[in-house]
Amino acid sequence: MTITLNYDTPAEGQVRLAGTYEAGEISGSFSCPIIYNGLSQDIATTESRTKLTIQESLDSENT
Amino acid sequence: MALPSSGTITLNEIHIEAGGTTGTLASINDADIRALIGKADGVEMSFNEWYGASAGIVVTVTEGSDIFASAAYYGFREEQTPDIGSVSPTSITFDGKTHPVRDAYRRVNRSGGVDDDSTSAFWFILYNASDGTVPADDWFSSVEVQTSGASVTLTPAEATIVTSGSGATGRKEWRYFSSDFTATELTNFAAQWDGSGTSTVTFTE
Repeated sequence: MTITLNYDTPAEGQVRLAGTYEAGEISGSFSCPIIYNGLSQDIATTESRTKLTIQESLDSENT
Repeated sequence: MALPSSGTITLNEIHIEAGGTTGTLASINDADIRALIGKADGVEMSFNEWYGASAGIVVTVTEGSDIFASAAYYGFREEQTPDIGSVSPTSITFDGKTHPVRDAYRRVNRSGGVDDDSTSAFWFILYNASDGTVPADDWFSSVEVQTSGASVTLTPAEATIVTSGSGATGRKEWRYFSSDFTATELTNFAAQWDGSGTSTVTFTE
């Protein structure tokens, strides 16, 4: 299932990312810590952890 | 319910907040009463130090196991029919609203019939209130998860938080990754949340 996150580009130094998600017919909102590598935001990892959380939540009844 | 933040405060009120029975014998040096404000035995204390003190919201999970090919869940899962495990109380009240507890469990990846405890994650899920009110992300300042060793204290800032649905059946989920635990904490977490016995989750507002 494709999960799409929608959020505003975080500002430098921002600690959390918040927005909405769509996963098929399911939608909702999310908030998560922004992962940093040193002083750089690692948005790919931040997104990956959030999508994993949404996926595991959706899968949790049968996997 | 937290003690008042000002005005008159009695030893009986403090005793009740600490879990005691009204009108029974208590002293401010009792361990459970001192614990409300983190005081050591025999140190000087003043009654106004208990203003706003709270014993926290304690959720006791009688654990069950829910095991699949690629994941296992240990704790309470209301989403399954019948429920996996149980929880007491079944709902918690904060900010003037009551929210049923949907889930409180350790989730672990599983392969070949073996759990990978290094992937243990803690999930806590609440339903919205009956009027549809969604709990705030940070309604608690910290949550203390019992393990077989020292308890692990987590904060909303560390959580990945997901909401879904709306109305009374909507829910909010707080998920903590294995990376939020030290190696020792992960070992103790897995030993405690193993699908047997009871484990506590204590929220401080």
